[in-house]
Amino acid sequence: MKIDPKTFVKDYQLNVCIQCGTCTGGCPVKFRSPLNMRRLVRQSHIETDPSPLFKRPELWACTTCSTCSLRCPAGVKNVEFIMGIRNYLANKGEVPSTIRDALENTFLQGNPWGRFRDRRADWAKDLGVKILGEATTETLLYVGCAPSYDPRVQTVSTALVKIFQKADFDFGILGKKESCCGNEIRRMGEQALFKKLAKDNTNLFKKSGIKRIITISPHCFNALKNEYPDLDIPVQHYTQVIAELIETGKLKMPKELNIPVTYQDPCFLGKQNQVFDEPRKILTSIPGLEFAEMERSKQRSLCCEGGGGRMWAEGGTEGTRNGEIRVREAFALGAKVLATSCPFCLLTLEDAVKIVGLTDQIAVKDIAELVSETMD
Amino acid sequence: MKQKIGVYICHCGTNIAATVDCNELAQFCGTLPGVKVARDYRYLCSDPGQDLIKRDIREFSIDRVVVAACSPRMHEVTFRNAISSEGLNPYFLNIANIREQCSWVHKNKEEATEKAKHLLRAAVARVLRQEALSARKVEIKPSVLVVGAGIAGIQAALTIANEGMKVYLVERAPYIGGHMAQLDKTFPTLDCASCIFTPKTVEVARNKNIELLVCSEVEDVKGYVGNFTVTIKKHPTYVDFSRCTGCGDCTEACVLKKGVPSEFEERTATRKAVYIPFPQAVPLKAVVDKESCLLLSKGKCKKTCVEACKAGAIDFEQKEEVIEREVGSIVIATGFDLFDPYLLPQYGYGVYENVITNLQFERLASPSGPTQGEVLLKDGTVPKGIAFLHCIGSRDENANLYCSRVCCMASMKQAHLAKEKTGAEIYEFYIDINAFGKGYQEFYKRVREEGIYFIRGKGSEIYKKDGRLIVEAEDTLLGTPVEIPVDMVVLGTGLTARRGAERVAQVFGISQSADRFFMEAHPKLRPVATNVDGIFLAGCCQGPKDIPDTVAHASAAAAEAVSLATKGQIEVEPITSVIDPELCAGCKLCIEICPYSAIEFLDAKGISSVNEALCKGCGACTAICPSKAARQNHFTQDQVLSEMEGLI
Amino acid sequence: MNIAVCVKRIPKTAEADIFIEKDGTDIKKDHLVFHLNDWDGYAVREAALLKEKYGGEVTVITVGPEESKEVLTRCLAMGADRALRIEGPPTQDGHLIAKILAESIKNQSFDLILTGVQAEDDNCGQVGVSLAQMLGLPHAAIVTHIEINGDKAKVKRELEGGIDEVTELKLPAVLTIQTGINEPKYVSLAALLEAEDKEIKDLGMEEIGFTSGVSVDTKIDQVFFPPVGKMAEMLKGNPEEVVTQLTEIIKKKKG
Repeated sequence: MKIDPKTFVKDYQLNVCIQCGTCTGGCPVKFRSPLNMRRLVRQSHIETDPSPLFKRPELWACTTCSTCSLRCPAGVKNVEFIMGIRNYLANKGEVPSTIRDALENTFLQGNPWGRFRDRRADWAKDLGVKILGEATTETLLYVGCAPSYDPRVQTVSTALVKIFQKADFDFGILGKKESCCGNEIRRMGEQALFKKLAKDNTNLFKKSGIKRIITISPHCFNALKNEYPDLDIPVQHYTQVIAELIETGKLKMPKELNIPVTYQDPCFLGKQNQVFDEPRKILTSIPGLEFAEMERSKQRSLCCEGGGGRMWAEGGTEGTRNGEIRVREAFALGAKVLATSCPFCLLTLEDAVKIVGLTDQIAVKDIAELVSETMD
Repeated sequence: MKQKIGVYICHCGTNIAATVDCNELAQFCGTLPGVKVARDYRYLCSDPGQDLIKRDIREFSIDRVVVAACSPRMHEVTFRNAISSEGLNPYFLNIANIREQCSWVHKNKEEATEKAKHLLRAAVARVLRQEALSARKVEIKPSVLVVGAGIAGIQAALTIANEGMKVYLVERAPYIGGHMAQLDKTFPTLDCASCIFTPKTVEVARNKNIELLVCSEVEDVKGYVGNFTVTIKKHPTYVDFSRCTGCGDCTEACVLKKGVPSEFEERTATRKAVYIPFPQAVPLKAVVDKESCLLLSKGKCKKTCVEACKAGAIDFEQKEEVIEREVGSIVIATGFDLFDPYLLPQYGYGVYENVITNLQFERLASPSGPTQGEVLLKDGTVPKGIAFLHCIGSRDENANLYCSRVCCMASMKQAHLAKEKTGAEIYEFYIDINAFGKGYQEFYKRVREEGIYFIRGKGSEIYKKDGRLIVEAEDTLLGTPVEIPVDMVVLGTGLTARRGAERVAQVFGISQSADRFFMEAHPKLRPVATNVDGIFLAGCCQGPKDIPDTVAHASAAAAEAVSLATKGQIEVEPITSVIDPELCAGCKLCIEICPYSAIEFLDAKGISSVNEALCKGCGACTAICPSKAARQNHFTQDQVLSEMEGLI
Repeated sequence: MNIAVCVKRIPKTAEADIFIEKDGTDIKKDHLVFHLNDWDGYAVREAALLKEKYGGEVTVITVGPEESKEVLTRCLAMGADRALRIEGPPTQDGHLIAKILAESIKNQSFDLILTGVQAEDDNCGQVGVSLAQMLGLPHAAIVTHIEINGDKAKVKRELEGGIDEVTELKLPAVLTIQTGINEPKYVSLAALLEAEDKEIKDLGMEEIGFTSGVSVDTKIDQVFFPPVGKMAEMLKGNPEEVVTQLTEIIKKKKG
């Protein structure tokens, strides 16, 4: 299947661009890489064959936060264009080596880190969690790759299991049958692999008879909810579920956490899917917790640079990372904990804490971890 | 006697002829039953074209005419006049639209011609069953209702009043002048808004032909062109205007210490529950806002205002009044609202106190405003940097698609005032500069010469860093992203239709365009008329305009109203409904469904009857009547069915 | 130039749970993920690059069961032109594999024959060198760079201590390819799906020329886990607990 770049103008509405620069102006990596969305759109529009433009390494700096597409007044499909270019490149095999590895690993082992497929549910083996196929439940907790394999993020998964069990909330996981949701795969350009993952996962969900899916990562939430073509099972992010449990009194948080906390809105949960209130509801319901908003919050939250395949990209950007800026902002606010609800934000911000040397002064925690601490 | 039908097919140049074979069509029509003559011609609407038809009427005693051409909206009247000049009843004409509904929407000539044949067969079948009707003449009352007393309404009212006609000027707010009253200086001449229009507002108050009703709204409109009956509700102001001297003592005395956000000051300042809108307000009277007044909303208050009023003008017993007025035409001048910047959260409006709208800036710059004309930050200090962001809520797929026309000029005018008053670094973040009017481009040049920085790039986001507001954008001419620190951000919020526009449209029976502004009868040729005879539009309620265009538009609406009244009477289409008293069973379904309340029930006879004067010929009663008693002239069941049979 | 590349389909075992078969001669492989041997992948890529430079055809050959077709498809997607699968006996005997390959290659005119240095599963490294001997061709092993000059190949060989040896061979020759010789290109799913339409030739032992069967000279007697030594103490627990134990041990043994 050959992709013809000459169709991009029509596919992504490049010709309606009025060159206003709102895209570049709002881009989180605008000062960290030569990526200039507006210029890319213009150049791609006027060249008869834009493919030489696509060889630029800065195209891989895009985090697919989607601010450009969300704000464009003319209706240009900016981030979709980037994904289309990456698709064109990936089909020809022309992707950076670390991206190549992530894609091949996902194809072979069902996760971009190439960890062994059968070990995917090892994190849960002593937690008494239902495995679909061995037990029945109507609710699937779709764990995701990072929460399954990354030791730092496994703490979040464990915490969430504890919360659900203490609240008597029935759920199950797919265990080692679970495969990558494909959200980042699609954003790294492997549209064909994404389609395959979507198809296989959808069949798996339907066969297991579940009526509801909850995800830990906003990236999985986005893929399952918005980009899987044949999935009509309702999908929620776990913060929406916990907020519901708090509201209906099914979740008790007996222990006080007397700490000042602020919150990083993940791009895939916040600005892309408009889930702003539920995480805040949870944080402000934690007894003793003092909540303060950072400068750029909600729709203006600063992207942590973890999306768009950046977890597997190497280089392409320079200067101070956004994560460092965020951590400093949180610290200046007086927060002792920078809370978030996305594994990628968690990892990149925690890295940033170490880089700026604030390791003992501020911690990065997932909301699930904080809630779990109140239930000790 | 057998009918003799003349069918005339227009080429309309190549508009029709390029896609429909007119010759073949004419030949086909010649074979249809009842057709005596079938011709095709290049431009039927022209004089020789019409003569063709007239000659056939004379020579061949043609008594039914079918014209296959453009939409009846274009030339139905033309051809009706043509045939009636030969003594034929104008309602023996039928138009088949083979342009907008055929040649303009298809590409394949063979298929289009086939379709045209069907359309013509239908048209011929219908015309056979058409009946002679005569137009009604209605008297035009010489008085006019003007709804809204902004500059558009004032201009229209004064123009009409100065012709010697009576004007009822209804205004929702307690003052007249609308948005223009809020402005400081106007572009491009930098005339002070109040200075130029106070003479007009004063005139309105003084003019014997104008009955000014403030704090009033139109509740209901009945009737038809020349004879409208409007029901106006006068909201209670709880102040007797005949006694009030506008001294302001009541405002001083009002117990509401904190006050409520002032609508006139665009919420940059507060007002009391009893207040005078602004020092130059016309009428200069105090009013009580029943929602913030403690006595009226909560039932408990010391009533210090009553004590303080030396004229004894405050009257909490005042009730609303409902009055009726009879007018010949109506001019709607209800104005605009500002785009709600909360809908675009990336600009931090409502989060940062120094991010304001353009109208809010206007109040700051006004000498009568909350800062006495000084441009100050919320903390009272002078800003060292101000950014003006263009196109907020306009030209935006995520807000409104249209351009709000005036904000580029308003923004540059404000930038000029800001520079003058503060000497700060001023930035204009723009996409295009819309400097279209007389003196506008010259003003743009002047503003550039004054050292204001123009950055071609739409402001993407505002956030705060180190105590300053940062504007994130791209300088697209240089191709570099920028973050400019300033102290104040003025959002160029666009113009939108009023929030209550749907209700106004419903009350008056007019339409709105997709952008929610009221719809003019024709976008180019009839900018002030609406689809309802006798109702006209003036000013921004029809679409964003600057003051010169508003005044011109309002004058045009006034001229139409005056012209109508001067004519004294007009002809109205007799395409109304009639209920056959023999067939009517008195079920009243037609009364329920009539949107114009044009059908009344005659108790004595137990049947329904149509008031011809109110009927607009929509056909709803005809469709719903189970006994087929309701019958619409020129759209009878017979006619419609025969048309459908002809089509299939 | 006509290039042959010999490839092997092997299971990925890193991190996987390894179980020994009941008879002790092999590990259980049902639950493992299989892929193209890493070294062979570099060899195929190198062949594709040489083809781009000098023209010609690349043929990939494997000795294996039906499942091996998936790695041949991948090689076709990587730029190979023809693929051949030989249905050989199930064996790990490198000598026998080389014999089978030699038999199928000897009558075809290849200018260059490439194999990977070794396979990820058994790490024997025998097939390439044995093949050269059986075909009577010159060979160079652990090659990190290839230059073709007419009928000669100049190659770099990786030795210990970071030393490279430069060798010139007359073609046809056999080279065993080391990892890192080139930058592998991503093989997209779209390319794989396209390659699935290409033909793979299947040949049995008889068609190759082994009419009377083959003798397996090397058999695996036993596969087992190395015994846990007394000197190795496995520390269990989460990072905090392990560090605590570790510091205790270090303190006890005095640094």
